[in-house]
Amino acid sequence: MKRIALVIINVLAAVAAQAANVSFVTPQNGAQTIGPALIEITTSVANVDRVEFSVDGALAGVARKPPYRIAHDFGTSLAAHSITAKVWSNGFRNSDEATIRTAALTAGETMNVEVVEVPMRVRSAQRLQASDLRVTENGIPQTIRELRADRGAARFVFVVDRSLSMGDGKLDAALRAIASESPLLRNDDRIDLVLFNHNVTKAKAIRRGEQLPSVPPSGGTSLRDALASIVTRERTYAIVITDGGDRNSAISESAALRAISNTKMIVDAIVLGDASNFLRDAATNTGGTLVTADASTLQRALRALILDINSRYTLDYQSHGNGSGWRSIVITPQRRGIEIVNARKGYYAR
Amino acid sequence: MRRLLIAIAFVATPAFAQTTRIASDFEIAQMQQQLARSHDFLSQLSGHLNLGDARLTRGESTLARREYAQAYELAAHERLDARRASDLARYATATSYAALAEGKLGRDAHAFELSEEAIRYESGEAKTWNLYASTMSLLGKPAKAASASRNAVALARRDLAQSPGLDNRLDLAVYEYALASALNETGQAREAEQLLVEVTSSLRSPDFDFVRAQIAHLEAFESYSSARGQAAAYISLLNRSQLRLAALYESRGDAERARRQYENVLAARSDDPTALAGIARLSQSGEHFAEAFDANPFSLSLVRDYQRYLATHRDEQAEGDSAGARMRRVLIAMNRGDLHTAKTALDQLDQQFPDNDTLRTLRADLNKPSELPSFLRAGATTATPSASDLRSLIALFNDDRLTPEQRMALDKLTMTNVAQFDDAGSENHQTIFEKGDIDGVRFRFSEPMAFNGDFAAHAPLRLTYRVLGASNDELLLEPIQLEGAR
Repeated sequence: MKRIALVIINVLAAVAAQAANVSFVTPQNGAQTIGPALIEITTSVANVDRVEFSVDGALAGVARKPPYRIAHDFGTSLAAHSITAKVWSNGFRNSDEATIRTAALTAGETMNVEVVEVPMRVRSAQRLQASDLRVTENGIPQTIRELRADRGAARFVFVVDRSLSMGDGKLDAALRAIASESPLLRNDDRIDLVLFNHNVTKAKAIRRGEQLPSVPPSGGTSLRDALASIVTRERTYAIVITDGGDRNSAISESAALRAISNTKMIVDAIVLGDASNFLRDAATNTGGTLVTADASTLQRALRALILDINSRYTLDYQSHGNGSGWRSIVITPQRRGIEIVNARKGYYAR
Repeated sequence: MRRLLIAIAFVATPAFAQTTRIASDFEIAQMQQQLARSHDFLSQLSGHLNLGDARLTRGESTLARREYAQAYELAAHERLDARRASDLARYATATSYAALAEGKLGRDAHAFELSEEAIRYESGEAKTWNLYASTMSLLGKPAKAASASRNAVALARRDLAQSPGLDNRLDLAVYEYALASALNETGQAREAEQLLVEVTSSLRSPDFDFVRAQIAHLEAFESYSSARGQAAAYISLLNRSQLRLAALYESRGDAERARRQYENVLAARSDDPTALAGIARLSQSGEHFAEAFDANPFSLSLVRDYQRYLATHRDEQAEGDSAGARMRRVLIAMNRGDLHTAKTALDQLDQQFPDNDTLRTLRADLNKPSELPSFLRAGATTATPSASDLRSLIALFNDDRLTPEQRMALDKLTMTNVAQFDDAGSENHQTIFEKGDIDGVRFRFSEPMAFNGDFAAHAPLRLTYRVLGASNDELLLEPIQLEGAR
């Protein structure tokens, strides 16, 4: 039985070798390719009409006469490539082809530098120095790279609830407050407006002091979806104005908290009613604040919030020593007379 | 409790057809919760009927039929139980619902038979007449639907006169809406309009302040064809009445009044797919089409409206990764003749939304075999092909449908066209080009080619070439000569 199986294998191998009438001269299977290079084959096929060369499925060139070769620019990609040569012969009635795969080029060792920004409110009689604070991340001491007394240019996103319950002048008051208080932001800040009900609109860029058109309150509430939709790698202050809970989000509380609790986003909120636990956690985790107001005090509350953001310290450190998952940040004063009012509590590392 | 299931009056809404969540996702989620939580006959029945209707608006007819079949099974079972209990009124109601479900399943004869039986058992109830009218409308018998609806309205007016409560007001409005729909179908647009205006005015009156407060408290916005409870019935009825009025104005060419009605609908629900599609159609604006596609990417009527729009907007772009944006990219690529791009985008949508009728229809459009360009048929040695000829050629290459003879003919054929190149490099009075387009059809050479003379990029130049092949939506050309366009 063993002998018969072996014979069959040998026959198949012979057939395969015969079918391979096309062989690559360059590049060779498994070679590495980058930039301009020649692709060349030889073939024992007679009456060749043309040889078509395809790279990664796209026709790259045609050779009509031997030597069957073309010049091709593989570009700067380090990826592997699939190269096929198709030989047409006998008046395009027959075709034979061969395919090789080049090897991916491996880049040198990469280093992941993860700079964590910690916005914080601090009460101190003297100007604060980096040496006045100690930072630990999951208990591991970290080295402070910088402590700045101004917050630096940032992206501000006003995340405004336009659900049906924001009627009775609440939504109008929110839009008016943004128009009147946004001039407090720096000239180089970027400002976006995201309106949400059961659906979330795309972020729309607005100018400082721009009068915002009235929007009819309608529909349900997808607060978690709205906050998760604005996450970027940019330093972002999300200022949420809402009147309460969440009825329609597709994303869960834990997933939304994980999405927004990164190293660059701070969630502040003005709640016209009862704050949800989710919003409290979002503000606490990211070092933001949550205040309550009503339609008549909303503008004052927003002004106080922006002035508070403008007066915050920002501490930078390069995270080390921890794996992925939740990283808890603890900042402690190293001398008397310093009170840390609030600061980012941690973030999710992926 | 009386308003357990507001009689099914909304079946004949115009081509119903939502932004990254499709609008009907919300109705589907609510109905799935209802089915899981409430096990009484009417909750289960309305759940399946509403799910079927929601599925149908997004081109998911297989799933819709499954829901309608379950609704029919429920109604058939209820009929048997009612007969055993000798409860004639319950039997008639169940029979009416069975007829409606059969109508939705396209089993017209049985639906008709069941409707007739139901009305024989219970002809003194407005609800039964309304269900009868709904089924007749489904069966394409608008005259019968209209006369049945008149009976329902007459009985409801009597009930309201006897007991002027909120439930009876809402019932009357439902039946008037159904009558207006049937009248519209029979060409009696004036009376239909008058009724619809009455319905919307009545719903906006202080009589319904209580329901509106309830809706605001619940932040309810979902719209159903089989609505349960005052809030859901109010929202659905106001929504459909305004949409019906808008469609009526639009068909009459009164764009301004149609737009106002669509805007009224959007003020209550910012992602209503029918109103967004209406606004897009009236405004002929790419932004509005984008919103309408996000609300419902799979409305075939919206697809056709957009295709008409694209015919005069060749530079349209679709950004974003919502299903609506991806659907628009398919249509934009189809319109430009970039069939490979269209097929690739359609394949991706197919994976996410399998068994979708609209995607299937578009695939059939895409798979219509390309015409063989005339120069390949005539055995010519030179040609000046049109953009359409070149696109057909790309499709033939991509589908590997060229015969050996056609390949031979093409290999010998020299073509000339006015081409524009993307970028130009130059040295020693030579210009280097690599890619460009011929009347919108993309092409490239296998490597950058140097042409004698100084030529500008993005300027019309006369290119003589041979076609080597095509990949995706791009031709690979072998240049023979380049000169200034005369």
